[in-house]
Amino acid sequence: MIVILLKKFQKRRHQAAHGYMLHATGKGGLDVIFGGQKYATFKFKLPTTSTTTTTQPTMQDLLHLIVKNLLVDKKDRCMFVVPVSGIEIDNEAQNVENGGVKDGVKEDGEDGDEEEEVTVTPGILVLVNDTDWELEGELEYVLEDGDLISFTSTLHGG
Amino acid sequence: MSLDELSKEQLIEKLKLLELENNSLKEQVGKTYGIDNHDNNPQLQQYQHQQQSFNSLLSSEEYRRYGRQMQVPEIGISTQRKLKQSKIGIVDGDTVDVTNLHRQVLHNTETVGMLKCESAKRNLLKLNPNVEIQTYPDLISNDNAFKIISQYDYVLDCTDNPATRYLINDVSVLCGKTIISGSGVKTDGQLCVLNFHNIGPCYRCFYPSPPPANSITSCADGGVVGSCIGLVGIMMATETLKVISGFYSGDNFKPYLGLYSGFGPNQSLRTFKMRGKSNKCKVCCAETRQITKEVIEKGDLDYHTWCGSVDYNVLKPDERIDVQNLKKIIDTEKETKTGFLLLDVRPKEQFEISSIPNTRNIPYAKLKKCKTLEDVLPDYDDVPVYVICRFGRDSQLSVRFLKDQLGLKNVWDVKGGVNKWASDVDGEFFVYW
Repeated sequence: MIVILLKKFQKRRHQAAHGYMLHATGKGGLDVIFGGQKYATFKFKLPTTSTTTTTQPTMQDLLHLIVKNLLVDKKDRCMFVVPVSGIEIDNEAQNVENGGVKDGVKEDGEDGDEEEEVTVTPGILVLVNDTDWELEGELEYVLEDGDLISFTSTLHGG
Repeated sequence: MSLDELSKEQLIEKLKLLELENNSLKEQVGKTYGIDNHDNNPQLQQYQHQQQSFNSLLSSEEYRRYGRQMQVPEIGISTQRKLKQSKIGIVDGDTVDVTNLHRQVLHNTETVGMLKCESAKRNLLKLNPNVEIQTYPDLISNDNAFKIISQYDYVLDCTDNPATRYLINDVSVLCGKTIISGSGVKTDGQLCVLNFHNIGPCYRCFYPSPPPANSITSCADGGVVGSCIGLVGIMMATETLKVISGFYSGDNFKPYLGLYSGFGPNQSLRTFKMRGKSNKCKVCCAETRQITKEVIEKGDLDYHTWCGSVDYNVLKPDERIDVQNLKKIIDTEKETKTGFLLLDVRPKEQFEISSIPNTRNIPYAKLKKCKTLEDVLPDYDDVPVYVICRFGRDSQLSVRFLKDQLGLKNVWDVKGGVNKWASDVDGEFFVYW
């Protein structure tokens, strides 16, 4: 399971929030997609996609961000990306330090190549706080300060 | 229940019952001689009704046996009577294996080799001889699922693969049965109640399509901790009690998914609020239903094909060697010292349990993420490479990958893995599967 905690952060005090701090923890299988790191903190400005009417970042933005910047291995993209147009996103991430805060704010998330459908593949459950994301609007869900987003895979053994 | 075990109350009931039975039998005898042609014999009906309530009566021994839980307000004597009336069916075509014992506590060392359903019945009856248990020594399938499931009110899904879970779901939904579903692997577990009285969401509402076959971890592959999966089973029992007792109702039941984690910083059970019934569901939504009893029984829906499987058959015969050959290579090496590399691609934990001497371990999961041969074997000096795993499946995928993606030419798969090695070459190899 990967759990991502979102915290708003500001560049300076009294300024409007600049982006979100992502505190990610992973365990039990899914953590391997972030290079097997158990805990990591990322600092990113969440981009907003052109398709979204609201200026607030949504779940779709978060998934784009994960796909573009956080996945260590391109092969893991199939967990989040359902190919529609087949555009390869240039993944130059892997600049995250284990357990540390990545300096600087990533700004390159805005050039969005949104032809591709970024969502999750069958077998992955997305939970917003304590709720199935389907009840929260799935990709349209507007992220809030303090949200806990979990990705977990369904289990079949017994 | 023998007569001398009965309380006075029960004896009077029994007497009344026999009286009724006697009367109805007299009437039936009359019927055969054409004296009475009533189809709806009120006395027979009364007898059947009384018989049913008699079955729910507890013996004096049972008052004590169940006393501690009957005192609990959530259970009470009414739920206990419902339990007393109920019958258990166990479906399993498998036999008890010694690898099951660490978690499947219904079986024990003495019952290894016995049919699991019989072993379970035997041990349950030792625990409580008053329970009625029916066994079905078959794997649940398209052919028998309706016949079995339709006879019961609740279904506990304790199976271990997506195909069977979808089958049980579809048949239970079509028969109008509530499912209590539990699963787990390693130290984690999941729990939910599906198709609750036909108003709750079903497995397909949660998971409309099956996960990719290569993403599935089974207990045999991933391992499972007995106490963790045991807790999932116990939680399923509690949910079943809540459904039987009527604790859950149409008003208070909310779809949920419980995630148990045994080895977090603390043990935890997080409960997530889940989506309701889907209005696009192919089985539980009447308007969009495509899966019917006919479709299933005719075999038009092959669950195992639909859920897919990984194709391990990716090598040509000359890309594989058998374990005897490997043995020869190892023995010759001692004299010639020409060098070779034996690569074991099992997960690290399994490799640490037992392995062939002088083997290098690079788990397949790690191997397939490598981008260059350098990443896999930094010190590679052109010697032949032989790849081995547990049963010879991942090793084939590894050889294909090493050849096609990383350009290694000198590489062969060892057929049948260490399983074959243990059975045909080295009888002292520790077999943990």
